[in-house]
Amino acid sequence: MIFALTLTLMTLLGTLPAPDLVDDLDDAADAEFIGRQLVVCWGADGVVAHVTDIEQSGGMTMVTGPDGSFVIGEGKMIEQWAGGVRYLEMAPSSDWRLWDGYRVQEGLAGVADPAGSRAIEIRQGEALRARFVLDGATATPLTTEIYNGQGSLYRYSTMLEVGPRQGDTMLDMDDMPEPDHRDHAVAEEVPQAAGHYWAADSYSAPGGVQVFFTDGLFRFSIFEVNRKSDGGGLNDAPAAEIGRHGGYHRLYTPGAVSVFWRTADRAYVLVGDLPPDHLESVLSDLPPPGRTNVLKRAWRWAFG
Amino acid sequence: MHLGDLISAYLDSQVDASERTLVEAHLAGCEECRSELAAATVGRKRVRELPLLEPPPGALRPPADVVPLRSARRRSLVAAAAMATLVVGVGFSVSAERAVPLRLDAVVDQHVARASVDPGLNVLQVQAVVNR
Repeated sequence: MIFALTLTLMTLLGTLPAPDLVDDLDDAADAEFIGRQLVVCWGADGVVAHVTDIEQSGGMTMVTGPDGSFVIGEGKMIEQWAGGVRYLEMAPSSDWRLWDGYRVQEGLAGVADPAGSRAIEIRQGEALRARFVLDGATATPLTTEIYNGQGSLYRYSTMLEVGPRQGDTMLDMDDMPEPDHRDHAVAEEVPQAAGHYWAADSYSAPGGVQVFFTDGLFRFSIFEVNRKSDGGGLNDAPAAEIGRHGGYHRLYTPGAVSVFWRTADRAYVLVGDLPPDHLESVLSDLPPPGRTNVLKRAWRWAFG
Repeated sequence: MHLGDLISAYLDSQVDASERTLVEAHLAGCEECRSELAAATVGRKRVRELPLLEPPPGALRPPADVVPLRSARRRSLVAAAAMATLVVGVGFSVSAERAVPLRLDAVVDQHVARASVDPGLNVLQVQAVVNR
């Protein structure tokens, strides 16, 4: 139903991706499997990697890694630990579409598909941006490669093990506490477009507002918060000069990059899976790092 | 040939530019070394997450030979401190909005929760939540 609606909308908008991709997305969301996945990211500060156990069923995905287990899907995020359950639920969101600057094609150029699987390449102009090797039966992504603007590998993930899932549902939602609901909200200074990404939705967030950006392939959120925030500790992350500006703090994890900076009036946290050249382009369209004037700093020093 | 000790050196940023290029090229094509790298990364992270131990009571007792302030000077300091407290208190009362503490894990959770609404390839979308 959702995909039929999405397909209709994309047709009307003239941004229809290759039909096979829509089918693949649909199949991948419905696939039921268990597996173990390795993710490696070549960030500016070195390589980071992790191995996680993954279980997907009923549109929900359970990820178990060194920090615990999380169940994610359909706008819900459930974290269970010995002390209890944290249950986050997002307000309804806009429809998905793929940026029309991407070109989707079946198969890897000059390479035959591996047995039992299919490959998809996504190019931005002539540059290779992503490669997926999907399980032939379920479209589960077995291997993914994400490339930066210079054509080198930025993120690589592969299923070390994968198999069919059996048994009951992962979660009994009847036992869940009331969710911590995030309603729509308005950010004051965040634009509606950055780079080629568009702001899809905005939500309330602890201490500020979240603006969710996407291009259909990658996605990131900007959290606009009080200038006095330490960005959840990100102000201790390595300092970075990105594009024409210094004053950023950047942290790479295998699955995401996080950036923190302060402008004269506010602080921002960016979290997302976008590649480095996209990150630079996006930051150039957002309020740059800046300092307050001397009197403001003196007042803040004295009174917080 | 595998990377061996170079993996540890690479994680510690103890390799030069040419070695780094060599390691990264090898990792791109060697599943065994990628697994070893992943295991080493997880191991180091766990070590970093070990709790800090509190020192036993009395271990940080101040030295016994601290010279006390003379009482007159102490009274002056107390008066100055009281005045400063008053000024700061007034300042706090008129200061504008306060910062709500932000937690990075909560930020990542909220981003991934929204990302999970988009169709398909969910496995790619949920990776951000690990190693927050």
